[in-house]
Amino acid sequence: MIGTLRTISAIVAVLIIVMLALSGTGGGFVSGFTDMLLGPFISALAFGNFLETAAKLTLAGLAASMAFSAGCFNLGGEGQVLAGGLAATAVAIYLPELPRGLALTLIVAVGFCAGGIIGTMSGILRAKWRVDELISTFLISAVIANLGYALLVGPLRDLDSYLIAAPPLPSAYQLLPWWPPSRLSAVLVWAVLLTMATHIFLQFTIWGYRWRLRKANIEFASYVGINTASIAIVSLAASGALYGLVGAAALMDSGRAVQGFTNNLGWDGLAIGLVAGNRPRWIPIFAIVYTWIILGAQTATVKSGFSFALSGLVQAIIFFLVTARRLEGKNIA
Amino acid sequence: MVELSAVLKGANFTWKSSGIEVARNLWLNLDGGQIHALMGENGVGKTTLGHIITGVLQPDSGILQIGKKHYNLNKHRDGLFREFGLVRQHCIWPPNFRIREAAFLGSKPHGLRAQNKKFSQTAERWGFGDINPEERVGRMDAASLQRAQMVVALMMEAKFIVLDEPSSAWEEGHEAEFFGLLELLRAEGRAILLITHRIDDVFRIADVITVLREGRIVGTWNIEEISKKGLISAMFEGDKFTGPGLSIDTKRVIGGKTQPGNNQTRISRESIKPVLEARNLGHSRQLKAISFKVFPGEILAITGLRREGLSCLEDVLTGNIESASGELLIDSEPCRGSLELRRRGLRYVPSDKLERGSSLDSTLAENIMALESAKLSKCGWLNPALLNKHAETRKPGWGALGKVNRKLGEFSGGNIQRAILAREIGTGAKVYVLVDPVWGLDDLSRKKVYTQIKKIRDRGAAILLLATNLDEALEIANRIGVIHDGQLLEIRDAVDWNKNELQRTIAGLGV
Repeated sequence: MIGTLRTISAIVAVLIIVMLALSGTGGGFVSGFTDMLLGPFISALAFGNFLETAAKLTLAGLAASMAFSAGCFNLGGEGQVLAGGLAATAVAIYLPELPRGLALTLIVAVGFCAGGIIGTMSGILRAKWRVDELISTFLISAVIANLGYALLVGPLRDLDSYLIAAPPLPSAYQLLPWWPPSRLSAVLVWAVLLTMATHIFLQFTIWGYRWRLRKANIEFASYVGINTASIAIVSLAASGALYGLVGAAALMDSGRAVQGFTNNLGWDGLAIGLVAGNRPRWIPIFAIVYTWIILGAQTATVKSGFSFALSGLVQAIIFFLVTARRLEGKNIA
Repeated sequence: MVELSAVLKGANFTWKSSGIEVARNLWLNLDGGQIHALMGENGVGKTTLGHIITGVLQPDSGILQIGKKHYNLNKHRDGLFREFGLVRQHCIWPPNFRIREAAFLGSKPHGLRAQNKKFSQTAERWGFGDINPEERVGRMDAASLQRAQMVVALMMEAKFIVLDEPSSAWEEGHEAEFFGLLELLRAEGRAILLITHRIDDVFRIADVITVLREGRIVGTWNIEEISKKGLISAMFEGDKFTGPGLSIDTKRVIGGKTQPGNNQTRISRESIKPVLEARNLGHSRQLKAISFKVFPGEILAITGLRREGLSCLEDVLTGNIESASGELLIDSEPCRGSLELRRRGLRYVPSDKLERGSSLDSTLAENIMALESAKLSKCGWLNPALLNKHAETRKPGWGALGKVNRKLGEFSGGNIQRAILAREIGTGAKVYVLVDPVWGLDDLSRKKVYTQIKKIRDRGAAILLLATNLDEALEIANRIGVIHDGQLLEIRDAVDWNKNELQRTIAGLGV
């Protein structure tokens, strides 16, 4: 109950600070507030895109939460999303002629595996040599970011484009939009199903129970004979794999791997996962609120004609509030 | 000179998170030059009262009068920490702090040298010279931390000192030191609140006794006004307590053969294979080539001071630290690491009940099922209703335990210990390592636990008891060994030891 109140107060605090920031941009507080609240609903296009973004952020939040739920911390989301997207791109470029069903299955599986492999690396470092996963996930992600750029300007680059981008995906690799002209697609269903699956896994299976015990008290978990090292590997692998899946989804959404196509999804996912804490089933709700704030604020900033890194501001506030809460409760994952 | 006194009037306390009322209309008088014992079963609110009077907890209502000062405890408690020194049962100092850093938390900044000097001078003066102020909190055991907290209370010159279950800090062999210290403090005119469940200690040292039951005061008596029997009935009120010496030994299975007997029986072990065997276990200077065998149907107690090797032995035996030499065998097969030990069926009640022994953020049911989760699942699926039912079946036999879906952190220390026992002793294993199994339990519960332990021994289990309490070792063990300076001194049948001899051996005065 107290945790929920704190979460709500964190969200309200974010809203107020964003509103104050917007009112300072010349649009005025009331009009800024209205634009922000109504932004996602002004048209079918805006609403469809809102749902699509919320679905992707739900997946990213679930990815972060997979690590939290076992008491691990994955700061490498950005790199894992990029790896998933670029691996999927490579498959699409080198196997352009596959039938649609196979192509979509393959691209999703490859994204999933690419992120999973990177997450596994941190898990093994943690399990075998006790390397702090906070450091290893972040550093590996930093390497992947540079490697990804090198691939985009090198072997994957579309030479016919003035952009730093890979060639567009063949049509067999693109998800069909459900509600054109918005980008709403099957990612929404993935988000719903994976949220349910995560909840069931954590609450109703023996493995989820062991993950939760590891998070609650790692010394106790070891003491009762739970292999905490292997849980670290599996949870970081699962977290990375979901981030990789987000990468594949982001790729299909943008139609091609263009520089910056991951659009901060790793950090956004981390912020949502942090707010959700022990309650992954709430992630879709937090993702919707988060998307609302970000997209609404974007609408408001466009209208006021002043642009700034609003997403970064929102993340900063959430990280600050949630981290303070966790430190207070000595509940650092 | 104004007489030192503190009067607590009408304190009520309800946990806001659960709405459970744990203290109702509490009154307490603390006078200078007196040792006031606060007694009661586990979970009746003794620690809560200690925390209310020292200002740690904010009660719903209550007035504290110290001399001419009045504190409305619901509104302001500032300044109480200057009056009261609290020695907690469970130290809350940050584990990565050094003792001297933790000792000066909340006080005016001192230079490094000044901190060390002040701490060391106080420690030396009161006989705690062995505490190293540079040691990290996390590297010290609970007993040493209680002694360090005592130094801080003395350093701050607290007029009122509240000691919450301090007996674990003054283990066998150091009791005289503890009682001597209390007498000195009393002679100095300080007021001492001694929260304890040890009846003998109270009759040895206390001037006044207050008994709590279900969050209410049963009564306050001068020590000469109440007998042990009267105190017990005040604490347990109507429960069928049969008094010390309760024993259920009738028949025991030793090496597969049923024999009549009790602890006083000598057991022939020549033809029996040991279940648990340590061969030359060593670890730095703390453990020197320890060897012993534990046979089915017996309790081998190893007793001594924690810092003389008992703690290290526990960690090595249960795989928490790797031994530098030697090996551990279960059923004559070598066994390494905590995971393998558990797989081989070891049941283990640790000395650290709160970090290692339980998960306070998990529910009672989740704690109790931890060793049997695989058995309780169907193809990996867990049914929460079944798990709660399983926990309910484990509760009987261990005294009152609360709702199984409550978080364990909301339970009292004694109930946490009961949960650990319900998990570890509830399953039919054949090898047990039990460290202070009656920690935090009242006399009646203690007897029940001994009964259970003897029952599992009688079913043929091999039990290694690492005990800091000599009475416990003498009461339930078949054989007793003493650890001193990292070495396991002679192991003898329990009948061949007496308490004096054990105390001398533990203190290093020879076997």
